[in-house]
Amino acid sequence: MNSNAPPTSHQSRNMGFAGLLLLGLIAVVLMGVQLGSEGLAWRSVQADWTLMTDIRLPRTLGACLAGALLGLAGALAQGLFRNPLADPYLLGSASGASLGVALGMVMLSHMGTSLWFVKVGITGMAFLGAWAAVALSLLLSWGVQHTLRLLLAGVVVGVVLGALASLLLIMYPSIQGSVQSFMLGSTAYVGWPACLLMGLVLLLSWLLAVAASPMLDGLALGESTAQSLGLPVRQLRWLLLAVLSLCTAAAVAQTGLIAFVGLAAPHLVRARMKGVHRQSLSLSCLMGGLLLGGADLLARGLMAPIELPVGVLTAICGGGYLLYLMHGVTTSSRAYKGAGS
Amino acid sequence: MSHSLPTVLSASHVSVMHGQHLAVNDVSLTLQSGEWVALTGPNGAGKSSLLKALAGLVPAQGQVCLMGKAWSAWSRQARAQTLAWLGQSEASQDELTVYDVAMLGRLPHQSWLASPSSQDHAVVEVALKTVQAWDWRARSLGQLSGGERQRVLLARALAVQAKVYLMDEPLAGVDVPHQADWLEWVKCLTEQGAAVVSVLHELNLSLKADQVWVMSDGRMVHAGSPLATDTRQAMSKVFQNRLQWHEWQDEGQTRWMALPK
Repeated sequence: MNSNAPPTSHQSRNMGFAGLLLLGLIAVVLMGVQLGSEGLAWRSVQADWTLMTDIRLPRTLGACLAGALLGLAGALAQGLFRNPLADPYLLGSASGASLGVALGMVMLSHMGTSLWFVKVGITGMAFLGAWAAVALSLLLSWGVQHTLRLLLAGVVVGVVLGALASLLLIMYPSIQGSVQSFMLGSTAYVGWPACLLMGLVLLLSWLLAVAASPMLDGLALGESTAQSLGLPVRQLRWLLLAVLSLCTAAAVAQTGLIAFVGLAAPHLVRARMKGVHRQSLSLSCLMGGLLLGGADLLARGLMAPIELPVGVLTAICGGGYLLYLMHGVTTSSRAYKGAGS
Repeated sequence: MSHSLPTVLSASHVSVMHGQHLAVNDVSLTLQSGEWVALTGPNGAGKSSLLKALAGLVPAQGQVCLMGKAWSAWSRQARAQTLAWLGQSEASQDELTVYDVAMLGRLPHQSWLASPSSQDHAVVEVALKTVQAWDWRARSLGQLSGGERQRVLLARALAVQAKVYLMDEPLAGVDVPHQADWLEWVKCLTEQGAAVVSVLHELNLSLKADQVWVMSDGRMVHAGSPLATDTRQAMSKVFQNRLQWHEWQDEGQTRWMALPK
């Protein structure tokens, strides 16, 4: 290596990793287009053209986009809160979205549809619910300055809104099926408009997150260090929280509550890379997309023609892989301590 | 140390509150170019709070001036180029490489989203070589021991190329040979005109500084040369007279060593 050259080996490894993830995503999309209720159908391409372009392609792309949004949101949450256990739902957005959907279903089934409700729809209610929960957490924690206060406010909002959603389910048993299906997560109803919306949100969020990523690097060395480096920590924290909430709300509104993707994607990326947040945020997007796209394939193909709830699969697979990672970390830290003693 | 050197940092009647507790009580001080000051005192004396107030990292009453200009008159970036901070127990994310961490010190010199310039790379290389961490520049922080990490964080501070360095416990977990190296780096910095204030719990290292500031209960109770008798008396007093002083010769100069009694 040239004595003046920065270490580029990990950067090229990260690029290679990004290339692999991209290839994986392309493969998932291609398989998703071919996978029908009777398994993979390579031969009937012409016959099923409409089915593929109008249903399977937007569904598969939508799963990848929602996964990418959750992966980005998870990486942002873990960087902002400097906590590897942080996930996109930690500010109460999951419970807020569930309550929004439950309220929407109650209005739809018991009060008839008013003009404004038709415009907003169940998806909009989930989006609004997720945003309202984050806003409430921020309000209760008096802003973004105190991370611990914000996390605790998020927990409180999550529990209270979740309880309210459960109360609605008890009061109106007829909405249970729909709300439960939302809570288990599904990519079955994602169409082109949803793909377009999620694509735009992802592009905007990714650009903003990458632009603000030096703050996450500075924050990794402590709040005081980030401030001393001249970073506008408070303003950037607001911006990144807004991006995190936007990503989560957009994904949840379209696909319901998908477990573990937002938590697992950044972990899987960090297990394979080292480098600054600009790279890990982008890789987490790709990893999230691959995870949810892959889970969607499995949900459709494992017991075809019966379709499994994709959220259940992501929870089982993501949880299992995190346990595997945890075992690896514990083993290597034991080995390190053993070598050091 | 000559008093004709320009003042780089000054504080006038600075107080810091932590909730209901007055952590720093009406402290005034001046720091001159090319000066190394060791800030010492018992636990809870307010050393870290004072250092943070000087760095503008906590809200404080009173006035702090950097290079003769009040904090409010500085832009965030210009201030970050002039004053470098090395905090106590800086948290670190394991996937950042040693090189990435040192390069963070160049952030105040870079435009937003601009790639590091060749000068940034050159400065980072010098900083990492200074702390003897260049050979592990591609390793992640998670692969380093506590003392090695501390040296990398010091390289991050050195890469700022500031005029004033405020360091809170920079030698925590650093072994003796690298403590000796640290003394050399500080000497080098002050010879180049930079000023350094460091909180050090190791009293005998504090006694190597140009000036010793002694704090107790949030107040600055003494500021003077480490060779002066009243400095030793002030230190003994704030440490409850539990210090034993031993005289020794360092290149023909009388020095003092403090041991617990």
